[in-house]
Amino acid sequence: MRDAAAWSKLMSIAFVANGLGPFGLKILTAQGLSAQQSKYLFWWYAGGSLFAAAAFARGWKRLRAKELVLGAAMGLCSLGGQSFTGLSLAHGMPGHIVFPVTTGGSLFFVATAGIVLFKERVGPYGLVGICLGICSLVLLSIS
Amino acid sequence: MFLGLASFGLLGVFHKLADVKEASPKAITAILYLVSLFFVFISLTVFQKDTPFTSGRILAIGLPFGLFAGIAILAFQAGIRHGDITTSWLIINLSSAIPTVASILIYKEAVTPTKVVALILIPIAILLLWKERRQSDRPRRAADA
Repeated sequence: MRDAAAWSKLMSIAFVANGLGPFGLKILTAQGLSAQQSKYLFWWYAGGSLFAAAAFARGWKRLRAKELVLGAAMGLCSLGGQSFTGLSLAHGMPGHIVFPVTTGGSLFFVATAGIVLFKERVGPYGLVGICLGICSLVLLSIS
Repeated sequence: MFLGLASFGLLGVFHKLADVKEASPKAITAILYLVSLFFVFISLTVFQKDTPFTSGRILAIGLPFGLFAGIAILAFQAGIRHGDITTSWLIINLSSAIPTVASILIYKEAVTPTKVVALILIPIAILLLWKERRQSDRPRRAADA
């Protein structure tokens, strides 16, 4: 049963928590520890793993194959996205090209997949919101 | 760069697929993080010939901020059950306004005109997406009545 109030509540939590997540990297850089980014990334994922493993503590015996496959694929995509973006920057691709293409492009990719593959219908508010959202993120990534 | 785009895009598609397949949000979040942690560990130890052991400062920053990211993924995966990936994926991505604003307030980062325009557009986009979500329930409610 789809519930708009539950969606608003959970998306608000996701919005705030997801916004706070990457801020650690800024603190790391500000403290002059950016050379230790790989170690930081390990402990960053460890923090997420501890929380997620604790949240799922009673469910390990009921873990299904589809959850294992999809979760692993998502983990690889998350890591792959960060690694490939980092690699293109390391190979001299300027940030003002890499970030708008990866951010704006992936948003467009997901929106298209939602409409074409999952037959989601987007109304006029949604279409304008998506366009404004993609524009704002592209602007933010080049600023 | 395009592989990065494809990876992030596929991540969004898999979030929706997990919902369609009725996978448990807690299971998905746990596996996602443990698999990522495993590969970061491999990258660190095998390719960089290093160890994860480090100063308390890195631990003190990494663990809590990683925990926030874990909460975000779990809330998102649970929330997608009540909405569309088309709009939800954008909402979670728009959260990059938070580190931008925090950097301006805490680290006195420069406020450029481009940043100002982006930060004005973000709440407008969220408001429109929220309105879209409420609107999308109306035909269903009417049909139920």
